[in-house]
Amino acid sequence: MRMRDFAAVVYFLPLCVFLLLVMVYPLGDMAFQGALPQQDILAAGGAEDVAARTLGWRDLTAKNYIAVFTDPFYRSTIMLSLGLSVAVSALSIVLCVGPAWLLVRKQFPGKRMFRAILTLPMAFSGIIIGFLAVIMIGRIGFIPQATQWLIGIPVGAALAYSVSGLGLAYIWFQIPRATLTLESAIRKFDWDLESAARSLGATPWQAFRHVLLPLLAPAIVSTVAVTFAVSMGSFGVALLLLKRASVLPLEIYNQVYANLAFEMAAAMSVVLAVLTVGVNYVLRRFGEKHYAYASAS
Amino acid sequence: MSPWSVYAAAASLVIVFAVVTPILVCLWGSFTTVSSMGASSTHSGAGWDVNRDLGVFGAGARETEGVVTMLWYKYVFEVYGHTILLSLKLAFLCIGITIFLGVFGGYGLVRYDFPGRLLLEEMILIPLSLPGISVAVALIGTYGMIRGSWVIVLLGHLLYTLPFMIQAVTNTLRSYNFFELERAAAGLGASWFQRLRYILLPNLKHALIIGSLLVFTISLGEFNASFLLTTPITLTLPAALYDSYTNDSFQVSSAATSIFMMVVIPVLMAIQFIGGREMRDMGQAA
Repeated sequence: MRMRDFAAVVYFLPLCVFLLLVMVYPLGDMAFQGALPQQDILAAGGAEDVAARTLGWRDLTAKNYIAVFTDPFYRSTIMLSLGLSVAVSALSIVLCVGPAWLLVRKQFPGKRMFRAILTLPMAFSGIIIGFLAVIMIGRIGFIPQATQWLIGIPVGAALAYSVSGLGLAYIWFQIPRATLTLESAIRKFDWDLESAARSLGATPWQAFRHVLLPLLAPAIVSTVAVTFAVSMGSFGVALLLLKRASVLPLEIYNQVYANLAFEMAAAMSVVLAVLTVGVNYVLRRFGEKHYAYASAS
Repeated sequence: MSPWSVYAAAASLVIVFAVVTPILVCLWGSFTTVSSMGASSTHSGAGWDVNRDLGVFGAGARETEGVVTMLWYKYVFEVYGHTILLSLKLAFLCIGITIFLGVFGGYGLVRYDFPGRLLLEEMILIPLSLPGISVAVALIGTYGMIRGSWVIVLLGHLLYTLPFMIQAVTNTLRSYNFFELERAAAGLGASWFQRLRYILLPNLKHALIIGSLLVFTISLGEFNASFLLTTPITLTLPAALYDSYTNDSFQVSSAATSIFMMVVIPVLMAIQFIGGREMRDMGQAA
């Protein structure tokens, strides 16, 4: 081994050791634990007994992993997580593509202020966003109180505790993520193409449909890559708001604390991690590839 | 005005309203008294004065005088003060450790080409899309014996903050021909340490400041992973906020949230002011 290569190993060593100990090994271990049979702590006569009984490779079973997909409740949890993440991604793009376009193309007073305001949700963890949702659209939240006072009907009372309220809270924390990702993509546009289309007689709609939208597509894919992953992994908001349904991260928490079924929690965590990281990776790759194509052509 | 401009302006107004109002309501709630909310009860029972007999804890339940009060903040500092300190401690430890890992790792990543470099780069980015709860379950499953110590919480925070520090370092090193400088210094006889001290670190100053601010914000607000990793004796501020939301009054919860905002929002504004690109990178984090 040459000296140079040896130096490289020294630089990477701390980083590699860290990733191995904190990410790779624990995640692998979790996949293993998810494949262990569930231990009945009460029947075994206390936690000490369970700990004394060591399980090995021979005990491995796919039961937990199969249950994640076959159990009707768990399946509904996964479907809610997926559905919510897709819907939130779509809606936050619809909400944020206009403001992102404003930030790129228009000069207006207070632009800096506007950008500062829309990045604020980034600083708040899910749990805080849940609280803000309660004080805004909870049972006696600000919006129901205000509309009660203005028009005599409490609009959106207790909305926070429903699935659509949860979706609104998710969209709230996607605002900076969607806007900033879209903005940086729109910044790379060749706007001459749009004016060329218009001067060739295309209506605004035709120019949008046949010129802007194909240009926008990779930007949308990159944005969904971010918003989907963040929505899938979000746990704090659901912990505070969701009472009658469950999303996957919340169900994992319930398995650990309410059911004391750590093996089940591990199996679900593996499914959640694979789904989220996998979809994010594929979309990111797809977006990057078409980015290169869109800016090259 | 085209329909498109109308939509863009309307969407922007909706965003400004949706972001600003809850923060203002929360700030208002943190200062307001029970009586100004219209739910006053001056009764304390015969010979029993809550304010006198239970100190700040009892007074927290019945503050009826005046319109504005600092009592909720006092209550939060008394009850949750230690969680604020722990969160700050974790955030500063994260900054120190990610600088160490990020400077060496980032330098190596840009400087050397070796088999598996792309894999390593992808692995560094994985935490950005990895759900926090999965990491928490994994860390508990593997390092369950140190649960109850803040070290396991620190491990979770490190995993989520490291990508930002490394990205800040590698982006800077890739943006111009840094290694020419270093080679010149080496040619003039600078030792490894001299090159680190006088060439690498000064050139990375901006990146390390931005990286530290990002790491601070993310570590301080981290909840998804830390909620399962914390225990009642190693409670971080966001985990304590959950306790506050489920147990305390609206005013106390608002005060606790406002304290968090007052620390994090200036840092966020600083990031926004110093670097725009990093702001967007931060958005990639769950």
